[in-house]
Parts: sequence; structure tokens; C-alpha cells
Amino acid sequence: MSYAYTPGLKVKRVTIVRKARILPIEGKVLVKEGDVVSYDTVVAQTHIPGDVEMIPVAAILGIDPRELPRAVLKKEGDAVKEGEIVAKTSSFFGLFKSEYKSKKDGMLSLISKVTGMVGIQDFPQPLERYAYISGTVVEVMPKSGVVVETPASFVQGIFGIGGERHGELMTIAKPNEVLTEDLVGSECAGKILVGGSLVTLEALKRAEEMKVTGIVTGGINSDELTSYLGYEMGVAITGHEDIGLTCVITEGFDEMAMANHTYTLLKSLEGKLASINGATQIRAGVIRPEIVVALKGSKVEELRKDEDVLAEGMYPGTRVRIIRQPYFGGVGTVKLLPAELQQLETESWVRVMSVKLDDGSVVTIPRANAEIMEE
Amino acid sequence: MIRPTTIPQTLDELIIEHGVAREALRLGFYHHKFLARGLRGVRPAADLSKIFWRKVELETYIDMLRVNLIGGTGGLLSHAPRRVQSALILIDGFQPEGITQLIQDSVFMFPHLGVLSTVQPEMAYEVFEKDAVVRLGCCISPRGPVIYEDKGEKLEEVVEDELIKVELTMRDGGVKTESLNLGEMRRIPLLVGEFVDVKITPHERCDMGLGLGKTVTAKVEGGVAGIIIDARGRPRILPEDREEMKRTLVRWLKVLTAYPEALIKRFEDG
Repeated sequence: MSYAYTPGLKVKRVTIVRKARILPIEGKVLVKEGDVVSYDTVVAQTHIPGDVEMIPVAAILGIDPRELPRAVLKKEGDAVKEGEIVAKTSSFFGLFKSEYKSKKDGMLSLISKVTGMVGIQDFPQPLERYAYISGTVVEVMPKSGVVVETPASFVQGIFGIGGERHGELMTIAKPNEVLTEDLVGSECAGKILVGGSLVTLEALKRAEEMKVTGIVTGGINSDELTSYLGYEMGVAITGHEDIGLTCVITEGFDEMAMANHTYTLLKSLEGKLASINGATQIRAGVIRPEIVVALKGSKVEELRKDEDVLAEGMYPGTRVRIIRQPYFGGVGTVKLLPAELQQLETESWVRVMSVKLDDGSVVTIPRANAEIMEE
Repeated sequence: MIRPTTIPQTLDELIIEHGVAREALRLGFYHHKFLARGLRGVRPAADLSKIFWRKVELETYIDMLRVNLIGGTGGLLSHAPRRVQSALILIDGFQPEGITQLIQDSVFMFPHLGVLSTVQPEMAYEVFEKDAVVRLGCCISPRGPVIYEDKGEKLEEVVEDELIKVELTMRDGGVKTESLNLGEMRRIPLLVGEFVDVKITPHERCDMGLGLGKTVTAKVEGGVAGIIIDARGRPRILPEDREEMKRTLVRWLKVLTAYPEALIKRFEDG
């Protein structure tokens, strides 16, 4: 029997979620294997080197870069204070003098006789890595971090902005309703709002005013997203935006009703504490935004068996959701998975599948254009 | 493209995806060129011969006339139904100048072969040569025309007719001459592994690598898309009028037979 595997966005009522909590540079791990941690437990910490400010001291003093080491009064690695003279020079038997005073506290990190620059680095800043999800530490990587595991409900979105946050889930709109600012009130403070086919710019602004933790909705207008952020999104990773909330888009750009199974699952978790992260990377090593609700009472070992079954892929009878035009959003059941390649209107020869949609119609689509609905 | 592993099912989806790819490549390459430039803050050595070149170095190190090969990889190119579509995406995205070979990764193997080459270099090379590389063909495109607008020059007055003349000496000894005006493209079928001698004479305000108006001779290899002569100017010149621009874009797609005739006709009919 033919089968296929198309990695889709996960929308799972119960699964095992593992999160690696790794420091960007070596540091100290504060927990041990087997420890039960809360989402706000600090599991590892380190100190991040401060930013380096490059100052063209040779140019300021009017000397050749090669003369800079003689003019600088400190050595690399020495501390400097704001207002302290870092470099000075004199000429014509001391008649003309010039000097450079540091504009901040820090450490002298570089004296370059090539560029004539002096680098003054801010002091290291402490960085703490939180557990992010409540669960059990199942692995410790010495000096690097830990892996935290928990049974959880897990929902992936297609695109997101904003970093890791926590809050109670609160449904405020139906899947096909536009999430406007009048739906966001003071009762939403600290909550993760769920629902809607589109979040408007005004709703985002209002949510930030109301100190909403996060928004999970179907779509967003790209121009409004640019207005909200104040700049156009780049192509690298998201999640580091300097904004007051985290936003997870489950379907795509512009108005798109949130998939029913996503909405139903999130609605069933109303009032539960969730971890949310908007980080998205769309290229090799893909990262999708997520909502994680740690569950108490589920047994991890039983769930591991389910994971093995799902990894086998797609068969006739598997529930799928179509994720590209002309049938985008259609939900149905795999009817046939022919092994032979078939030609599309575009002239491409691809593997296809036949899907019986819930409205009774049968459509043929490339296998790559559907995702398994993992519930 | 927030779902990059999906495949366009309709022609409209396909052509939009290809358009987005062109723009993404153009912007990505622009950013790369911006980064690949001279080190800031270095005091240059007092060498008069370098004064002229310093200005160029500040802009970018990348000189497209010295780029002889462009290789594309990724699912979008692999799934392109006609190879000439891949060639056109690379040409539009990177705007090669001079004579440039175009290749593409057949099924996203390049990165994996790179890893394999660290332990089995010969095997990796063999797979690379025989299975991974798709030779798309060759692009011939002059840099320019150079227009001195500060001296009141106008493009249409400087380049009145022919922008480039290409003489191809085929394997049977026959000579084929192609003459293109500004804004024209042409595709000459030449199979993978076949070579022809070309003699390229650009307009006096254009450069094929030896200087303005200088004739260049070379031996070029064909490919699945053949030889593409691109006389659209570098940087590429597009009509300012929107309707004229649409007609021009359709004309280029038609002359290269890049998309099915039915789609082109639909575009022509408006």
C-alpha cells in the first residue's frame, strides 16, 4: 500500500513536548536531571559580553593609526570609567595637546594600529535561561543547558512575532470573526487571546495597551504588520521583535478563518496557563511559532507509543488539511495515494493524492500540499 | 512563502511564485553586495594608482563581469516545470553581465554533497557532476549602455538600434548571426555538452568584459535552456509606463517559451 509523509503543523491535544533550554555561551546549569521545574524556574545562567563601541581615536587625536598604541594610556583588558582619559598626545614640545575621554564605563577591548580604532566594551550582563515550560528535566548538558519534557497540548502556527511569554488562554472571537480593538478590554490583561480570522492593527495596539500577553489568530495583513512593527520584516528568524506581546498566526497573511480543529482545541483549554513563542524561521531547520499547555496527569510512556504511530505518515483514511490554493483550507480524508507521477496544469510531474473533502467533493492535489491533522 | 515545501498547482500560482523568487534573489543579492565591500575605517595607502579603484571598492567587491558561473539551488528551481524558467529566474535575480554559465541543483543535493565531500570527496564529486548539476546553459549580456545624463544624454538617442551582435560558429561550420536591439531577448537552442565559438560585439556604450564596445570571442557550452542573449541592459531597463511594462514582460516570456502558450495568450489578451 502506498503512503506518504508530509510534515504539517502540529495541533495535538496530548503529546510529549521537549524543549532544549540552551545558553548562547557557556555558563552554569542550576538544576539536575529529574528535577521538576516550573515555566519560570531559572535552569541555567551566564554572563553575556557587553557591546563594543568602536571609537576612531586616532582620527580624533589627529595621529597616524600606527602611533595609536603609544597614545593610549591603558592596556587591552583594563577597565575605564566615564570621563577618564583613555588616550592623549602632544606635539611641538607639548605645545599642542589633544586627548580622548571615555564617554562610558566599560573595558578597553581593542587598540587597532590598522584602523586607528579603540574598542570600549560594556561590562558583561547576566543572562538567565528560564524553563519556559513546566515539566521535568530529562537531560543536562554541562555548562550549556537542559532539556525539559512534559506531556502537553501543543499547537503550531504558521508565522509569529514576539518571544517567549506566558499567560492564561482566553477565547475572544469565533474562527471566522475579525479580531478588532473593541473585543480587547481590561479583562484581557495578562491573557493569551484566541480566535478570529484576522487581527487588525488597532487591535494589536489596543492589546499592547491592555498588557495582553499574546494573541493567537488566523491571519494578519502584512502592511498592518509592518505598521505595527515600524519596519518591514526581514527574511531571517522572528521572535526578537521589541514589542509588548507575542502574536501567533495559524493560517497565513490576510483574513483567513482559524482552522476549526485548532480553534476547538484552544477553546477546550480556556483558562489554562500556556507558554507561547512567536519565533519563526522559514528555511532549512524550520521553526514554527507555538502554544504549549503543560498537562498534569498524562503518562509520558503511553504518549511515546502514539508518537511512533504518527511518524509512519499518511495512508488512505488519514485526515488531512490542504495548505495551498486552489483548495486552501479544505479538510478531508485521503482517498487514494497513486504511486505514479501525474502532470499538473503547470506541466510539473509530481506525486499526487486524492482527497475526499468534508463537503463530499473529491479533489486531486500534490502530496506536498496537504498536512496531516495530528490530533 | 510561509509554506515553502508546497508545490504550485495552478499556472497563476506558479508564475506568482516565480515572480516572488526573482525579487527575493534580487534583494538578497543586493544585500550581499552591500556587505561585500571595502573595510570601513582603514586609511588607504598613499598609492595614486589605487585612488580610482577605491571608489569602486567602497560600493562592492562583486563585479558581475568577473562572475562566470551562477548556480541555483532549492525546491523552487527543482520543481520549475521548464528549465528555462529556472534560467530566467537566475538571470532576472542576479542580472549577470558578460558571458555567464547557469547551472542548477537537480533535487537539492548541493548542501548534502558538500557534507559528503568531507568524508568521500571523489564520490561526492561524481554524484555532483552526474546527478546534481543541471546545466541550464549560458547567458550573454553586456553591461550598459552607459548614459551620461548629466551631459544631457538620452538613452533613446545614444542607443538607436543594435545593442549587441553575436556571431555563433556552429559545429558544422555554419555561422549564425544574431543582432538584438535594446530591450530584446533571444534563446538559441544548444544542447548540454555542445560547444560553439561566439564572437560578441557590443554597442560602443556597452561592455562585455574587455571595455566599452570591445569585441569578445569565447567558446560557450549549451544547456537544457540553450544560449540566452539578454539585451535588456545592465542594470535592466524596464518601461516606466505600466501597460507598456506588462507587454514587455509578456514579450520576454514568449520569446523564451518560458511558460505554456495558453498562459501567454491569456496575458496578451489582457
